[in-house]
Amino acid sequence: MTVGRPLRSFRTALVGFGLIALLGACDRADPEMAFTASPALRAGDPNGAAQMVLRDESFRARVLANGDDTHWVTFHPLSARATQSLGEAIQPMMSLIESGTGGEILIPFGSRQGQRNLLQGVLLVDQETGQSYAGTVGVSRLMTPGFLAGVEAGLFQEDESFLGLTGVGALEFPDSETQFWRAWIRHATSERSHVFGSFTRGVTRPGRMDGAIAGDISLTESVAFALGFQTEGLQRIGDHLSITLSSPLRVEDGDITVSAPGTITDDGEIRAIDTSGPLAPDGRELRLQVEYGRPLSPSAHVVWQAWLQDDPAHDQQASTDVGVGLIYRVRFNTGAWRVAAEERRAKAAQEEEAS
Amino acid sequence: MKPHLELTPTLSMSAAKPAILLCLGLALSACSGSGGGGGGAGSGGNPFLTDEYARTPGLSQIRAAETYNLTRGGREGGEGQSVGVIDDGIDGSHEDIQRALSRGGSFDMLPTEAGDRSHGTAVAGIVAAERNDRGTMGVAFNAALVDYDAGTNDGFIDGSSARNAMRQAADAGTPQAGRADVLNMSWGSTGTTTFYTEDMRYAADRGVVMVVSTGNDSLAEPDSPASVVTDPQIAGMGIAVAAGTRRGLASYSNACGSAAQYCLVAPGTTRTSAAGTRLGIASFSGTSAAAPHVAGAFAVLAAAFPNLSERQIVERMLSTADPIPGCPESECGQGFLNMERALNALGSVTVAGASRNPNAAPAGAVGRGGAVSTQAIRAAMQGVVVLDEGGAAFYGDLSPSVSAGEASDLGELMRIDNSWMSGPADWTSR
Repeated sequence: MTVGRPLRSFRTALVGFGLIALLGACDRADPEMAFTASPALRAGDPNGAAQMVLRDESFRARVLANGDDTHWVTFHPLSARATQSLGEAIQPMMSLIESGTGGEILIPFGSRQGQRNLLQGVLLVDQETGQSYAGTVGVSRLMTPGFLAGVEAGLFQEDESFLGLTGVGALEFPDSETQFWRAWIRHATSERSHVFGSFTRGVTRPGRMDGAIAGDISLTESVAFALGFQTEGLQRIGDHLSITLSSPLRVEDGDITVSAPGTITDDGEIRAIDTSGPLAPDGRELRLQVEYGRPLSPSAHVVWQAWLQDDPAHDQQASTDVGVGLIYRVRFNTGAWRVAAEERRAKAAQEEEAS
Repeated sequence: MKPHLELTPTLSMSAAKPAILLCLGLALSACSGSGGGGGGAGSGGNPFLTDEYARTPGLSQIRAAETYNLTRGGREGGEGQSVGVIDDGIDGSHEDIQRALSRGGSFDMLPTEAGDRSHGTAVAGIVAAERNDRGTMGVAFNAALVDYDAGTNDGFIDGSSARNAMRQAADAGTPQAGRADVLNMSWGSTGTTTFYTEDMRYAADRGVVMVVSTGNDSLAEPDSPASVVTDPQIAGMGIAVAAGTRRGLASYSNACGSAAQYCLVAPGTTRTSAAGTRLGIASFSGTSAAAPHVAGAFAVLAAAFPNLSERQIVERMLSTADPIPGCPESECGQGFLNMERALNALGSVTVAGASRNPNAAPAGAVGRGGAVSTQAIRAAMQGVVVLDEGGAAFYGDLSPSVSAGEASDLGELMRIDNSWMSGPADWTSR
């Protein structure tokens, strides 16, 4: 289901269809499009994403466009179904790009056993401003048949924004640059079950903005993490049950000094008053989530969720949030494009043979 | 019942005193009752709507209580400002006057002669009678009064003494030494004269604003020196004041005429307890009564907006006056004095000193997902000095526009009707 601002989602869908039209004629591609609604299912969040996936023996890639507040999860090997609703915890910097357009590529390397080693690159650009972007380069390795580990390093460049904090009018924020790294593991506990974990740490360096009220921000550290257990094939092929505990990006250390005009002297001179304070929120959001999903058809998938969220938005004063949700995902045309391409190839082969 | 006291305007000239000026249309009538009693205005949530306020009808006509209430703890009632009264002297022993006079000083500009002091005291009462729940109260009840006694034995104002007073107001360092931020001159003589021009220029150059009544002869042009406010060197530092109501000029009042650009209409009839009857309340009519309303209003505005220049305040008073329907500018000038409008923010507001993008409404910040605490930002934005289009400083509480939650439309967070502003900025350090 799609909630929120339909115009934005519609625009996002159009971008997706445009990509399909552009790349659909590529015989070697395996195009697919998904319009994914509410992967994070936060109340009131509009979501939407369209993507174009290209597969080949030597690589796998996709280009995509996010709708508002869609929390993007890359499809590297950690990307179990459960992680699709953990974007804020697993890909926190990507999640801060409100509406993004980008791409991702995975390339196996250094191994004769297929995807034992993977090189992964991701780039997501803010489609609103074109100035903010996030990119990562990572490697993963299948250490043992059941244990996968990976690391990645990334850069998150924000335009007049600080870890998603943006302002208007006199409350502008300087550009900021976040260097971050992430480590993740997935360990199979049985043929159909595994546990996984992801930890992200970032260091944000704000730029200078002379004349800005909120122009003095210190070097800031932030973290996000997710832990989970998932089992598959409980009732039918393709279903899954997961339990996850996650915490979205939170500043751990950093200060801001706001220099706002706060007083006026006897002779009429307006003077600024500096107010300093920590940027670390007083609470820490922890989200415990249980999820069951199953396919309804080759193109449709449904997920039921229930969650308990303590200190939502890292606000210690906020009451604990409990909720349930339903996610319905639909893919369009995935088979038709492939069949058409195969038919063209077969026909071409027949004509060549005949000639 | 005391008899009516009426002083008929006359003009006398002498060789030694080239322009000896008259008290304009002073009509004092003792009214029944002492300081107490009165109808009571009802507070209506505004602590300034007292019985004392109700006994001073000129205040409600210029919407003074609304103005006082706007300052909300700032420098109210003209605190810190000094209003000079060039007149026939002020009775410093009057219960409603003595405190204001003690903040300033009395100067006998013509020691050889003694003024009557009834006119000057009444004018001073309109400017700065004490707010003490007794008698009446002045427009700028916290201002300092400076008394320049230029009165003659026969009830006139000595022109040379008045000129000396202007220079003293400009040159002195403190109100006690004779410094005045604004001068009230409720007198004049028919016709134009350059007799005062140089002295008024001198005072204007040194930051003294002059408020001059237009006269009570039902003429199309103001008397002098009211007409001098249009002098290019004085322009913007002087206000000519005609008497009237929001419906039009008083029948006796001289029109704004050629001084229309710098002319206001103010209440020509009010009551004051400073009419020579101690706390007995007397009515006081004429452009002599209108001018001190404007002089007091200037003091209130100057106290509320210390970052504004004198010219900016005068311009503010002129531009916020209420147009008088059916009354052309040549008669009513810029309209009827409205203190409330002058004390409110004009147009859009900007955050003071923000050199990049100063728009204050809306100005705010939102964070996505709460990764960053906005507490410090919110605290800092609780009392921000913002400037309106006239450059006047106000406190604005911008903290509601700072949100740590999910992204929101900032335009929805901040109403743009300026109701989030708490009033003129306090000029004492917080």
